[in-house]
Amino acid sequence: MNLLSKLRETSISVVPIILIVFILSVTVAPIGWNLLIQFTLGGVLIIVGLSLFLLGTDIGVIPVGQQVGSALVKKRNLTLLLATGFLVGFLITIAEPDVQVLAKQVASVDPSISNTFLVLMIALGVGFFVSVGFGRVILGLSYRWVLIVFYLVVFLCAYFTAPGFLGIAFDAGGATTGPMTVPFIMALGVGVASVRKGKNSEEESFGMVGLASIGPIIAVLAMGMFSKGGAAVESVSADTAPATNVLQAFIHVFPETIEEVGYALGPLVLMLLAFQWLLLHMSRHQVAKMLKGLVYSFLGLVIFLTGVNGGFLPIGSTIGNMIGALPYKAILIPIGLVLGAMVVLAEPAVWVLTEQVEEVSGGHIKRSVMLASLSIGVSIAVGLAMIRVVTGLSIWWFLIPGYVTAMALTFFCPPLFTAIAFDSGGVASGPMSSTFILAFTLGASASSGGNPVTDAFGVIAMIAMIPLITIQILGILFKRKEKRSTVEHLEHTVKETLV
Amino acid sequence: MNDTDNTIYSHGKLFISIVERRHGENLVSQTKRSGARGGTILRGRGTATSALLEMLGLGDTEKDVVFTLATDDVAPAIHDMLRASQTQGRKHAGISMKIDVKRILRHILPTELADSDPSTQRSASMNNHIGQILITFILNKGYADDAMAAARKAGATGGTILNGRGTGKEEDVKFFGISLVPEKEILLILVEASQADAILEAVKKVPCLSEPGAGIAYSLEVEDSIQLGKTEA
Repeated sequence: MNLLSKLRETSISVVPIILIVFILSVTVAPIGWNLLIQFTLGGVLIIVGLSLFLLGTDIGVIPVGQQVGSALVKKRNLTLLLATGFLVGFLITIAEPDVQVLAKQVASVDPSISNTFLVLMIALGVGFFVSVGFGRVILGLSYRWVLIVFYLVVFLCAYFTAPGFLGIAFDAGGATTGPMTVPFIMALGVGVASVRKGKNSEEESFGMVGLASIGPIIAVLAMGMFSKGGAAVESVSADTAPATNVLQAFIHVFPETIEEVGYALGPLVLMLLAFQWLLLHMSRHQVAKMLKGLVYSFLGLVIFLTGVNGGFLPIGSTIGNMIGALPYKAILIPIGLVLGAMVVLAEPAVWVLTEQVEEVSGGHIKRSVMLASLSIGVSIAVGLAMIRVVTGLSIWWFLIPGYVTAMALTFFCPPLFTAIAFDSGGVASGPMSSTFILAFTLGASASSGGNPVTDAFGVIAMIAMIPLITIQILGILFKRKEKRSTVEHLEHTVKETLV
Repeated sequence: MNDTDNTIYSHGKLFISIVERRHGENLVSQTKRSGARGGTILRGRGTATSALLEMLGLGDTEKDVVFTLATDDVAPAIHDMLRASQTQGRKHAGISMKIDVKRILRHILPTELADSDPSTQRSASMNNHIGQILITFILNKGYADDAMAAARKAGATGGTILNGRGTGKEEDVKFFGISLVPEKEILLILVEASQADAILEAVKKVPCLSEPGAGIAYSLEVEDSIQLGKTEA
């Protein structure tokens, strides 16, 4: 049964995080038994929630999303396709809880910016880029050049914007593509590409999420350009007071989580039903299966987020605080490396992406290989973020070389891997990094005497950026290996024929 | 023997093995050790085996489907290997079906040039007792589950679904220069010979599958089916 194998797989990726925290708690950050139990309980909820969620997306969101994508292309109406893409991106983003959180962060940098206006801008951005993603596949535009053009726009905007907005803008790209939106947008892309004839279809399957995450970056940067700038930077309170009772911590966050997930799922369900009536006309059996899938995704995500918010978030900031206060704070860097490597494996969207990659490539690109390079990528990313916390270097020193490298690699990397790489950027920065890692970084930054707003924000930007590089390097390695094995194969055949 | 044509037709068997996801490669390397020249792994989805799991939507499993073509000289060894793997425990749980293949087109091996006596290619006597049938449905995407539900009511226990694309249309439907292809699902169901007709009839009657263009079905005689990795109770 799938649920059991999912439980086994998710346990393998979550248990190491728990072990690391145990090790930290007996060495440098004695957080006490109460918090440890709370953390472990959170881990268990994460395992169960993640498994249920993945099971649900497997039978609900993903197959139906793919069918919607294919059906839209089969209508052979470009306007309809682009308009639907825009609408899907817009509606999904407006409902995404992460966007609301982000809007609050922006407000803390410049209170004059209206929340609603910002959310609207971000949603417009995502809508536009989902539309671009569809258009690109149909018109056959190269993913590389689309990326280069739009990232030039991003850096142009970044040059003119108020500096306080930089970190948040690049964080936004990763943060807004949440666990509910990613599977759907990704499935749409796979569906659109799957009705294309020819060997390029595999290459065109990915890249939607990567494009969609440019939208929020440009939106926030644009807001920053019109901001009066230099507004009061409030100190970000790292965390609420720790709950006295272990269970209370979870019960406390539970209703809020249900509301959040409901908000995110609501428009998606309405959209799927609309698609069913107008476009798909699936049989009753298929609709029933989709609804079951949606219920599982909902339950799974609620349990997962309860675990994250109730267990991982408070412990993350406590540990960060303790380690940041140590006299030898450089130890943050190796700890960041280890945490980064582990945490990405518990991101729901990472599982969805690697599964889709394995599926579309017919098992050629194995999940384990993808996970390993993502793990290396995020490990480096969190390590770099810790260097920023310790040294206070400007984020520019990381973003510009990073993105220039990523763009340069597109010329050497097979297009399929470029698309997967830019997708993984948006995917790696999910709820685990935006809570646990962010809380850890904020805590560390606050207690080590840095400026949390400029030093700590930007960690998600890093997590969204480094995989662009590591996955493309993986692609280049794949290409070389394939060349070599073809040559070897030829040599072998020649030898055999000669004998 | 024509020197310019180094291909040859030979008689053989097709083994279709359905194993748990990520165990396909393992199976291929095992069959290679027994003489197979290769294998093709497809990614399949197993349908629910119990009505309760099906109702809960929990029944799907991830599968690898392995196609191994073997000429008569190596087929028995592969068959024996698969049988022997019964004792290997849960790890290789799955099933393998052996289907007779009249002609396999393949490159001739250099070692075979000397003794490509046609008489060695004659089929080994096959037993005519037909125990099981492999029914294959090729359906428009999304409908394999409907077909499976109908088949289950008619006595089938489970099936495996593969994804595919159709190429049947005479001219491609174009959209901005892109040719669009219809997506298909391929449903494999292994049944007892006595049930095969009832199952085909049952699927035929499903409303969404009775329209023209909904799909196609065919059945193959399976010479032998081997339970893989089943521990003897």
